[in-house]
Amino acid sequence: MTTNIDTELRERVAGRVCALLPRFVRDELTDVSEQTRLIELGLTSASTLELLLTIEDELEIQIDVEEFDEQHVETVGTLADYVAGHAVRF
Amino acid sequence: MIALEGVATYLPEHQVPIDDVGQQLGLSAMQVKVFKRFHGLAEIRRDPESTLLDLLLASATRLEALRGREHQVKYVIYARAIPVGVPFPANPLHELCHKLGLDRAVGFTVTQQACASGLQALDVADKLLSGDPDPDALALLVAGEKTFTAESQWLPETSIFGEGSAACLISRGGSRDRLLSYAARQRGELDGEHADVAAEFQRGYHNSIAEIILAAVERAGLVLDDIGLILPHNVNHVSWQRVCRRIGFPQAQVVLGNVARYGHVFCADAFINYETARDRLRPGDRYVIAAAGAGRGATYSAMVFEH
Repeated sequence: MTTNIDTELRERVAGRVCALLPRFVRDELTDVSEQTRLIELGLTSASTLELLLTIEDELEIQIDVEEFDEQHVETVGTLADYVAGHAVRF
Repeated sequence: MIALEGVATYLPEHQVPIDDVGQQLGLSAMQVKVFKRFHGLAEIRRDPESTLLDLLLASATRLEALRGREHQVKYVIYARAIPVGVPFPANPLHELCHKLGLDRAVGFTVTQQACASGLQALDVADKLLSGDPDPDALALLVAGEKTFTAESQWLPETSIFGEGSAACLISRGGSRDRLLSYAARQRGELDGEHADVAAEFQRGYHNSIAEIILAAVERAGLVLDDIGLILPHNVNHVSWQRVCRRIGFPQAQVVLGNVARYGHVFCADAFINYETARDRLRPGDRYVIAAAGAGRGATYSAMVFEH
């Protein structure tokens, strides 16, 4: 279920993550970008998984989470890399 | 070191889908979806009509190894994840001892290590039997809890508990399922309300479980390639996927099928997984039992056994 990184998809994922983050973290966010460090925002394990499911629904993709791990949630950018590299479009 | 003379388990027939549990707990559709999709949960078992005594007796009365040896049982140890299971002055453990004819046994509960209390109970049995002047003395471990409070029904963001029970007869120096090593680590700084310590607990969880499994294997004088199976606590799939990656252990050799069938059955998981895996174990095979306890501190434990 994995694909090579689809750059167009990656850009869309990064954009959606930036837009969705305020819904999943407690603190008020400003200047969210690909460099924003997700761990420092206090994004919990469950919130991260809910974020992935929301991206799946919005972009109509399915994400293979078999290899999903902590290093993929370092930043918005690393998360977008993982999703785009492990997604299948419907 | 102890040996496991026999194991028996009981799972209630009544199946409750995770969607129904989520509705009862007031979980959002997204929370339920995470439990099903990533954590591998599908349903749990409950028996609304049975008491805690019924639940524990259901497995203890199936323990064939106990029949005819009741007089040898000196210790009955109840491994509980959640400290309080019944209101005062009810004491199902003492009733259990009486109904099983274990009138020579001292019965008590170990609960300080939450879901790792099963391994704590095995270690306590090891110490008690080693110090007992009677070489034929036995210990009976029982595990299983009723999911009758919110705290006993789910661990937020982590798992959903199910009802079931296990009974294990333990001897000193037996020839089957011999304990080779035990390693445990406690993090007292995680003693706090779940909401306050959950993030810190989650951050360190996979590395801590990985480290303790490797420590137990090393303590047994073995390497990870010597281990045939891991019998996990059935907390969820995603955490064990990550632990396997960290230690380089094949996920197919972690007995995870019962997560979907039964959920997390407190301290009984290891024994339920043992019964499932029994056909896969040959004499001489080494396996690991591992568990973590969350709440009032964290405990990470692992034991290596030889079948």
